[in-house]
Amino acid sequence: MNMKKLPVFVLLAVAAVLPLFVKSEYFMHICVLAMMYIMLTQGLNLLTGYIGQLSLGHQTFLGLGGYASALLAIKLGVPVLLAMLLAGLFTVVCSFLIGLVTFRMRGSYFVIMTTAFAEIVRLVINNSTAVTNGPMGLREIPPPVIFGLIIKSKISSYYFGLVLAVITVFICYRIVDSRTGRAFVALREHEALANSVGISFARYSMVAAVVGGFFAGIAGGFYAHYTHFISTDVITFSYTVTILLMLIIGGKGTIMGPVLGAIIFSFVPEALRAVDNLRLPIYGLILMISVLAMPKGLMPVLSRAYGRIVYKLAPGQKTPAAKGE
Amino acid sequence: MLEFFQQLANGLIIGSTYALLTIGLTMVFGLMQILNYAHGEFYMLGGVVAFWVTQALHLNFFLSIIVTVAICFMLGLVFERILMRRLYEVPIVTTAIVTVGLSIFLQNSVFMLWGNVPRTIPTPFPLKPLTIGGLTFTSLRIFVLIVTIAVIVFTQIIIHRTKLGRAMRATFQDKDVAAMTGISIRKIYALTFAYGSALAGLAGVLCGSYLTISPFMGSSVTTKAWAIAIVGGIGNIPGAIFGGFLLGVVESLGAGYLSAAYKDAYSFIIVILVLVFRPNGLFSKKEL
Amino acid sequence: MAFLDENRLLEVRGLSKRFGGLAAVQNISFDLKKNEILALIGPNGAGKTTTFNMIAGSIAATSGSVKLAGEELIGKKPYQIASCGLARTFQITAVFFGLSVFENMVIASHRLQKATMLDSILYSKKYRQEEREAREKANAILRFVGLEEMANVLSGNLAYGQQRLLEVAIALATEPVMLLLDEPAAGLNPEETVSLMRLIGKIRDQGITVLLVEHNMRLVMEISDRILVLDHGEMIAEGSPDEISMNPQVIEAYLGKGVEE
Repeated sequence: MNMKKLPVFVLLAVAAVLPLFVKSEYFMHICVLAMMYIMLTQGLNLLTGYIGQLSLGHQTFLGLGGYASALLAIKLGVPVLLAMLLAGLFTVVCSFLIGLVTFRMRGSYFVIMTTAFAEIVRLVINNSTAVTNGPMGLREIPPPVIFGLIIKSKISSYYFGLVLAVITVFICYRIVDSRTGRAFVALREHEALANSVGISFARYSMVAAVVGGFFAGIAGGFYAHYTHFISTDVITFSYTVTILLMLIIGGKGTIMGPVLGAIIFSFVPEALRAVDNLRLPIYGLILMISVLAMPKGLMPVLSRAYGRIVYKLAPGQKTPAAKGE
Repeated sequence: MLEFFQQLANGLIIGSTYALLTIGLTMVFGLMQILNYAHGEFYMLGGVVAFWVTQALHLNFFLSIIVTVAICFMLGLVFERILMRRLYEVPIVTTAIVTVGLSIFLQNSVFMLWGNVPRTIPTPFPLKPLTIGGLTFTSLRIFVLIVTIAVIVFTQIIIHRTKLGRAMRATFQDKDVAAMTGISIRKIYALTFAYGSALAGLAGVLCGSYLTISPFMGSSVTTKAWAIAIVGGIGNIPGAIFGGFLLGVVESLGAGYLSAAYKDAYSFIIVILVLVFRPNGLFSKKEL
Repeated sequence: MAFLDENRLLEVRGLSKRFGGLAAVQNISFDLKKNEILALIGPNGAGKTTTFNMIAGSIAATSGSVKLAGEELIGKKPYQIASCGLARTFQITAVFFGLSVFENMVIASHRLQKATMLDSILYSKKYRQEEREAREKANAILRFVGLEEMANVLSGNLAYGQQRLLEVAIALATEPVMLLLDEPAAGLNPEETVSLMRLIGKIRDQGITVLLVEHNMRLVMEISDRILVLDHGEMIAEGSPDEISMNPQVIEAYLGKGVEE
């Protein structure tokens, strides 16, 4: 094992033993949600971090996945794990169809299109009362059952989420470390040059959107079966902002950046509860200042610091690249 | 048939405020390439400031409009100086996040200081509606329409008949060339942003006099103004005006004849349809 | 593989472009033999760059046909044309500025790699082999153009002349049958120009056909097998460097507007 991957394994080890040391149910609850956010930010990262197209509609797939999985389980009695998988496939189809229209656009036009689709989906779900129960949302969504084990406690949900999050991160890491991931980066860095070496914008944006859509759909299913409730609240703008914030402050275009961002910003709003009324204004300020101060996020900063530490301890070791992985 | 015309007229009045909102947004985007997600917050501030001015300073409605617009113009200058200026050369992702942050900050600061009770700016206009050719209007709504049209005309005069407007258009065409001819790009940016904020503030006062004011009234109009700006062609003022009226009418007729539940979706349906068939908007891009 | 006449690797027939009412390029036809170096020259505004971009697919042709090894390129998108084996460079330096030289090169192997996403996720043998090959090839090409020392440098930090070389290296990494160079010598000092000329010669010796648009007459005269002269969007002369330098029409076209070089 090289020094570059060491922090990742340390983080994983800490995550694995965390429930042994944490006794607070509430703290565990936030940790479970952090797992969902990791799945979401990883998926969005492919499109927004690697290809560089800002999507403000990623939470739509969270909602669609949540509703699809919940409805399959409640109305058709599909086993929850299967329902979650089917929900993931459903969001793949949705992101493909939306992508057909939106990937003809770039920049701000693309941004508006994603906002537009998010709002339309939200209104359609809210108004299809017969199926979705409208703004009241769906209640009493059954918990997942794995080999006869009901995933209902905070700890079992946490481990279930951890497994899903690790799979997501691993798959995204493998995609990024391949010709597909290089094509993403090429499109972000110089679209015309990328075209000239045979890379198509429409094709790879679609790949990123579909993979991201799949994980968002799974995350939606996970969320719905964990909280036993889903409403269109998850498709509101504040969710988009949260996911984007995690992505940007963690470090878009890196694999571990959004993971750190998701963990940090699952807890920051909770920490800010102490200041009650000031919470959201402070949140807005943090958003502005951190993005202006660190446009590339935490990852390059951490990566450089880690490189220096490794170099001091073992000068011969290969230090991690400044860009980080 | 009469109902149709009534809806149409109501749509045009709402549309006029959309047009006001979008003019500022589209100018700022066209000139500085800033995707300003906090534009609607100036609309909200307009409403809040006007309410405060009428209540605390006991100014009458007409005077409060003027004071509010002036305050919003100043606020625009201040925000341009401390924030927007840092966004001129950064990627769109950063701009979007920072302005979203500004929007969250402003909304919630106002909420904290002011609460969330819906309020309406008092006006001296009688509540009794007028009837013109079978259509009923309150005199307030007619006043709103007249003011917005006057301001739209005023804006066109500034842009096409004054030295400042010429400098703005030159900057829009090619800022490097404009800078070489001695135009201060910084000044143009600051004035454009402040003017856009003032127009949004005016729209806020006008809407706040016949609708209600709340700290969160800005968020839905920002995305609507964006949709209109894109339909009209980014940076295109006649396009923004047309798009504003179009959206007002579509929303009004759509709510009346199709479905009121989807009223807030019409702007998005329009923008998707327009972009699918005409990726650059209904009008050409380069025309301030 | 379709039938291939080596004398007509690239066939351009009746290529035209109108911008509005203005004819930028009118009815241009020529052939390129395999292993030939052909230069496209002409005064400013003659339509060289437009012709170049129509062949590379970045401008849509109004009419005409361009065939590479028998395959029609007109109507294809730039990324599809790249997949046909046509590589290009850009007039304004285009490299992936935010990435290292080596990363630039590995990206350019894109069209040659066949491993799927699943291969990469499962870390399959095919994936590993292709990654190794891409790295080896990147190094080989960097040596070929003389940038091997710079492999780990951020390409945005390279000197201008080195960026121009990297651009050529990126194009070569796609293993093209034909290379289009858009003013490769623009902005280079005389020394760099000489080594560029040598490099273009070496590229041809590798069996790659070269079409270039260039202003630097010395370079054009020295390395081209054949020269095409455009003026006002029309082809006014075609021939060997010697023939072109003595062609009265060409001299007229250049002198009429002032010699550029």
